[in-house]
Amino acid sequence: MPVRAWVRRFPREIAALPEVFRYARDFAAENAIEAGPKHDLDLVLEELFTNLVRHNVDGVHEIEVALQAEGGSIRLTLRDFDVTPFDPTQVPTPNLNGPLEEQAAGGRGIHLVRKLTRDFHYDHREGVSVITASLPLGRRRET
Amino acid sequence: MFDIRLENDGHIAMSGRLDASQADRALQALKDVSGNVTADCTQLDYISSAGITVILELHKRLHGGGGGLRLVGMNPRVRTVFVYTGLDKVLNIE
Repeated sequence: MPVRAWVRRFPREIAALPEVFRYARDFAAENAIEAGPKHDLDLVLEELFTNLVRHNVDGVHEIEVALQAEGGSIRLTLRDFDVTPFDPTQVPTPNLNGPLEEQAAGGRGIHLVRKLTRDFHYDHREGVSVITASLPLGRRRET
Repeated sequence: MFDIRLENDGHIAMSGRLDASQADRALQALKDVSGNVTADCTQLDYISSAGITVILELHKRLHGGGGGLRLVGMNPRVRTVFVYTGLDKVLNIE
């Protein structure tokens, strides 16, 4: 039986994050996703959602978040409608070495997404920004 | 939900989830903290890049004033966020 995709839209505001997390919690419960990958799912969702809210400042529509468990991973798709292109996959990797004073303030969130996901892609067609990424369920690295 | 408990003698205790929706509130709660500070992270369940920015702001301010910040008791998931962003090398995490 195919695993159903979850799709829901959220207000484009940082204050919507608790609702995004509740959505992820319910998705994780239905798909028996364990605490480690669930934590990473929250982290990736927050970083991508807040990136859209902050960089697509002219956007007026709600942001769509789709989740689907497939094989050993979770497929995430975020859609932002009627916005100008902003490609988060092109955000430079921050300099994480050296003194804090020499490190850029931004870029850590997308860096975390790159560390935690595979197939992190961006597309923009007919005014719609689409971000996709796969979160492996079995790669949790506890340190 | 995120909470900060300010104690005497330079100790603070953070609990819950320090995400982007809580970052401004956290900064406000920490604005008067000064000196040498130990932050108990035992009950901190989650931190994102927005939460890390709060910690970095506190770290820089305390260092700028001649003090310092020590982070103790992080659970492995929270610690991993600091490791992935390279901040375990520049912050005092025990």
